[in-house]
Amino acid sequence: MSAWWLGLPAAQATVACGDHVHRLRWEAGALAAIDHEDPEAERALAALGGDRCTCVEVLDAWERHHHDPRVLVLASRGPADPIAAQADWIARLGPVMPRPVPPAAAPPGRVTPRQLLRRTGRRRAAAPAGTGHAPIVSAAVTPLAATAIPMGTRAENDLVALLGLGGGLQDRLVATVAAGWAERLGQADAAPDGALPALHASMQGRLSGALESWLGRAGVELELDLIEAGHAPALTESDGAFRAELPFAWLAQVWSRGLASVMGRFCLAAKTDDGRAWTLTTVGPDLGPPAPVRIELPAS
Amino acid sequence: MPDFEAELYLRLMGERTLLARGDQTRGAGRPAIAEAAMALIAIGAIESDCAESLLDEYRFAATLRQDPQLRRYGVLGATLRPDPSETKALKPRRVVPCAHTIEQSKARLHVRYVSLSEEATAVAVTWYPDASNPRSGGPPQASLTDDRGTTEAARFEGGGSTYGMHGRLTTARPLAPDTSWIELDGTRLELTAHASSFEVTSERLPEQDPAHRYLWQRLAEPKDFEEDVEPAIAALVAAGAVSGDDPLLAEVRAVLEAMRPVANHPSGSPPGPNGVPEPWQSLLARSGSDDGPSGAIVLGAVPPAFDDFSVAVLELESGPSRFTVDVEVAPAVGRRMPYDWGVGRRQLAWWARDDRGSHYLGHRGNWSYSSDFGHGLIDFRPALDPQAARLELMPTGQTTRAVISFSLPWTA
Repeated sequence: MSAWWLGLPAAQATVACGDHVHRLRWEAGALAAIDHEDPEAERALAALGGDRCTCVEVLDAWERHHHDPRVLVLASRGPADPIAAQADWIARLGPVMPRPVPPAAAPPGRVTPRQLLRRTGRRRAAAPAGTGHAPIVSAAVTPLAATAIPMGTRAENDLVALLGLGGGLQDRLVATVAAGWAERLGQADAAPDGALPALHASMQGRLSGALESWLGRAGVELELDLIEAGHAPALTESDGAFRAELPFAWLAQVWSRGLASVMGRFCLAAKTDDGRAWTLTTVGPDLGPPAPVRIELPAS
Repeated sequence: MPDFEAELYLRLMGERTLLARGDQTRGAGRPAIAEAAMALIAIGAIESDCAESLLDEYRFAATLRQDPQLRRYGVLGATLRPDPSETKALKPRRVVPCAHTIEQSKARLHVRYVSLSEEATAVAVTWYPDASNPRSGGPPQASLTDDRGTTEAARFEGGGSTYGMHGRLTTARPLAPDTSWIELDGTRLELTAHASSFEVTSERLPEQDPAHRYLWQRLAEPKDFEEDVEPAIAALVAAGAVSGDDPLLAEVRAVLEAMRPVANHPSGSPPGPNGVPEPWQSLLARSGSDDGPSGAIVLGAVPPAFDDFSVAVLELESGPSRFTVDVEVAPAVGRRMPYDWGVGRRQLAWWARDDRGSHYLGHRGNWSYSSDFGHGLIDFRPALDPQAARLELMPTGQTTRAVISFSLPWTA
C-alpha cells in the first residue's frame, strides 16, 4: 500500500486498561498500543485464559474493521454530523468491548505480560487530567465469553467501540478504510462490485456535507459520478443541481485531511510527495476552471 | 430498470437522512427509506436481504447520532427476528356459539363461543368489571372442565380497557374436543348450538402490474403507525416501474386523501368518494355511517392456506359504527414495534364486501401473538349496511384471497 497517510497528523486516545490509563496512538497509517511492550504476547496469554486487555482488544477490533465499508456508513460525515459518542454506550452492547469509568486518579503505566498475569481483578481507573477523551475500561471477560458472542453482535460492538474512541481516532479509521478501498478500486482484478453502492453513497454523503458547508446552505442537490483515479476531476452546476466527477480517492486524499474547502475554494484533488508541501486542484464559488493552490507546512 | 441501481438509490436516501438529521420527527412510524425499500423489493428491484442489511446499517448510523443510550437500536434489534420460514397451517376446529353471562362478585363475564380442537381449548369472553368500580381486579383466570372430568387452568389473552376486556380463556392443554359441555369455574355451559354455515372459496387476484399491485395493497394493509406512501411512489418512479404521470398515482393519492381522518383535513371534511376507484369508492360512500345492525355470528371458518398465510375466522360482531371479526393468523405477525425499520413479511389486507356492492376494510384491533399464530380483532369500517343479507370476508395476500361467505341473520 502506498504512503497514503502522508500529511495526516498522529492521533491519540486514552483508554482505561486494567488498572491503568493507556494510550492508543495512530501514526503513519497504523494504530499502536504504546503502553504495551508486547501485544502479541498478551494475546497469547489471553488465549490461555488470562484477562483480556482493553488496548489489545481495540487493536484487534481495528484490525477486523480497517477495511470494513460499514465504518464509512456509520462514521461522521463531517463537523455538521457529530456522533453522539458517550463513554457509557459502549458497555451496553456487549461484554467484550470497553466500558467507561468515572474520573479518579490512576497514572498511566506500561504493562508487561507478567504484570497482566498477576492481576486478580479490575478496579476502576480514570482519565489523566486534561486529556479530554472518554476513558474506557474493559469489562472483565474471559476468552470463553468473548468467543460466545455472535459474530454480528461482536461486529456491532467493535464498531461502536472504535467510533467512540476520542482523540481523532474515528477520523483516522475512516481515512484508513477510505484509502484501502481507493487502492482496491484502482486494481483491475479487485472488482469490489458488492461494496460499490456503499462506497459511492458514503462518499456522496460526505461530499454533500462538504459542499453544503462550503456553500453555506443545506439541501444541496448533488449527483456524484465516480471516475477512475487519474482522470480530471470536475464540479459543475446546472439549474441549481451540482454534478461532481471525482475518484473515490478524493475521500482519503482530500476529505479525510480536512482539505475539502481551502481559502474559500473547493478542493477536487490533493497531491503531495512528502506530506508537507501540497498542490490542491480547486474551484472557486463560480465553479470556473480548476486552479491550483499550493500550501506548505513548516518543517517539523 | 436498466440504469436504476436500487441499493445506491436507497443508500443515498440514507445519506440525505443522516445529513438532514432527518426522520427524527417522524415519530415511531416507518421512515421514508424503509417505505422506499419495501416498494423496490415488491417490484424485484432489490432482494429483501440486501435491503434489510442496508436499512440496518443506516438505522444503526441514525441511532449513533440520535440516541446516546442506543436504546432504539437495542429495542429494534429484537424486532429483527427472522420471520418463520414456514407457516404452520391452522387446523379446523369445533366452534360452538355459547351466549351466556356469568355474574361474578365484582364483574360480569359474557361468554361468546367455545373453540375446541385436538391442540387447544379456548373460551371467548368479554369481561365487564363492576361499573361502579371499573378498576377493581383484572381479567379473569379460570378453570375449565370437560364432560370427561378433565380440568385445566385457563389464562386470559386479549385486551381492552377497564370498562371491558375482550379476549379468550385458553388452556395450556386441550380438553376433549367433542365434549358436550364445559364448566367455567363451576358454571356449566352446554355445547349444543351450531356455528353459522358458511362457504369458503379461494380467489386468485387478477394479474396486475407489480407496482400498481404494491401501492393498492399497501393502502389496504393494516398499519400500526401513520405512514407515508410518497417515498414508495418516488422510488417506483425513479425505478421506472411507474411513470410520474401515471393516472394510478392520482387515484392512489385521492384514496389517501379521502381516507385521512376528518380531523386532519384543513377544510374539516374529507373529499367525497368521487374519482376514487372501486373497491374504495363504495367503502368511502358509507364512511361515517352509524346505522350498522347489532348482533354476532359465530363462524369457525378455517380456509386452506394461501400466499403463505393461514387464517381462522371465528366470530363477527356488528355494531352501529363498525363490525369486528375475531381471527387467528399464522404465521405470528405481530404489531410493528415503534421505530421499526424492518421490511419483513407483508401483511394480509382484510377486505369484505356485501351483496349490495359495498366494500369494507379491516384494521387490527386488540392483538396478541404466540410463536405460531397471532390472534385478535380485525376492526372493519364503515358500518355494515343494514340492508345487506350476505357478507364475504376476504383476507387478501399478494396473489390470492380466501373468501368466506355467509348470510347475515338480522336481515333474514
